[in-house]
Amino acid sequence: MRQTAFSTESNKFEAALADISQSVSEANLWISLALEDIRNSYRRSYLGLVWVLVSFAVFLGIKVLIFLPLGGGDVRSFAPYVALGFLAWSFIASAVGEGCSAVTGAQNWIKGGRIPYFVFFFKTVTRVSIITLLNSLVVIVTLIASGVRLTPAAFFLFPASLLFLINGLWAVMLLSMLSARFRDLSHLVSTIMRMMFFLTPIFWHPDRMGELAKYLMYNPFAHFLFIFRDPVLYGTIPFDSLSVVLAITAAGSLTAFLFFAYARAKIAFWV
Amino acid sequence: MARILLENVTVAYPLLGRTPGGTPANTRKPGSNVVTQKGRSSVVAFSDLSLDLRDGDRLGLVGRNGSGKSTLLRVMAGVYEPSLGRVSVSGNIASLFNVGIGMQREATGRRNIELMGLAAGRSLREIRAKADEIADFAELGPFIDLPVRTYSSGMAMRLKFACGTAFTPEILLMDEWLGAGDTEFRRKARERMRELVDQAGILVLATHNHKLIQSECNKVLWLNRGRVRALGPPEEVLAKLERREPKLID
Repeated sequence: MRQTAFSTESNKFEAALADISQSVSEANLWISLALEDIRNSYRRSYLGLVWVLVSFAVFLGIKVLIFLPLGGGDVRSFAPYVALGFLAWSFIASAVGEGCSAVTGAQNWIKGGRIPYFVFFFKTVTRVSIITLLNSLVVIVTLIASGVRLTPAAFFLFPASLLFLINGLWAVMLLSMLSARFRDLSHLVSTIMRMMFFLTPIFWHPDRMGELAKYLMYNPFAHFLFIFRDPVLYGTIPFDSLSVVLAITAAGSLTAFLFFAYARAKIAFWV
Repeated sequence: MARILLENVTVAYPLLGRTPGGTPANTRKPGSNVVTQKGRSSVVAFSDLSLDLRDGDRLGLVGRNGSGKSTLLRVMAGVYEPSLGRVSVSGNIASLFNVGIGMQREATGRRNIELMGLAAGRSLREIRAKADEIADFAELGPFIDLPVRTYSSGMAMRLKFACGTAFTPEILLMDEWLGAGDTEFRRKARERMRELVDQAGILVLATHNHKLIQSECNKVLWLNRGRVRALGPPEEVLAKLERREPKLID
């Protein structure tokens, strides 16, 4: 049974930590919610989850086709480049996009009882991760078909994925709470993300952008893409980008947790 | 030992975002429950409320719409935390104002038993031990393995009722008495509610039905625009209420 005692006098940080530990112990709830959410979108269709793969593959194929001239004309190097970049971007964009509605979308739940908020944060990250894992099948096929040779550096994909998860979680936390409070935020965020899709080196090479490339270091998403793509494609670990990502991870997680501790008791009034 | 303790509790809803036409002028009159502090307006749901409920207490909440009854139930359920004052609750809570949370129309009845149970904070083990009993109680027959979207609204309501009342809580919070189904099912539902209410340590029931209060409650709290008008034995408080607002008598 869920937390059977509460006192509104307890310390904000203790209450925030209690929310986390309670949510962890209710893993079955958020995993079920994530799975039902995914199943619901494809229920009663004949292809079902295959649609996730089809739409990812088609979008990927079109991008490779259209932007091949920009990428140097060699499909065997360009296709895996776009595939990995687009996979990483899809995770980021869905975490940010779905993050904005993680709290507002759970309105009935939040007003219906004392349910720990991390249930909704974990659910959103789980859902996005499952879709990303499915999409990665398309990427694996692309890598094999293009004859990409993996080096030991490719194992860096695992810590890199962990960094994606942690950053996805804090982004979901912060965005979901802030967009419950400020209803303009989700619209602003979706506008920004549409713009960032083009400003992030997903389907173009920084080397081919001349002078413009030097501004790329100010795009945080670019660094996330580099730590995900470079180890697999080039067998190198981009330590500059890694340090940027680590700094973002630390700062973001801390900010999100502090904001959660401050806002937790107010969220029910915001939704 | 179940206990609900409220000490000098004030709850105010902040008015956020763009409101069409701004705050209406008449709400700024003295006596209104819209207060503005440091340029921020909020609606005071109730203020300075103190209450101590222990095992055996059956509290009826009465008052007109908007008097703060539902907000008070949600404060006890831990949904809203007070702007001022202190709330502490111990004992597991079933809030019957939210039955059906977790229901997924596309999932089967059986899966929904799990989903609603998880949503109420039960473990899968607890739920699976009760699943057959819940399915039987809801009288869904073979429909239990079909998606809820194929159910009639009565069937869906029976499933929600069966799930919402399957576990006996120490604290039972209700916004109006819960019933469901046709005449036949209603009798069963009444028995189930009887058991639930009798076994609960504390009952808090918000209702406009004075007969129900007289039969179920041993304390009544009369709220009027967020303030306590009276708290005491049912006969006394209801008599006062009926003198004051004769229109409210059922």
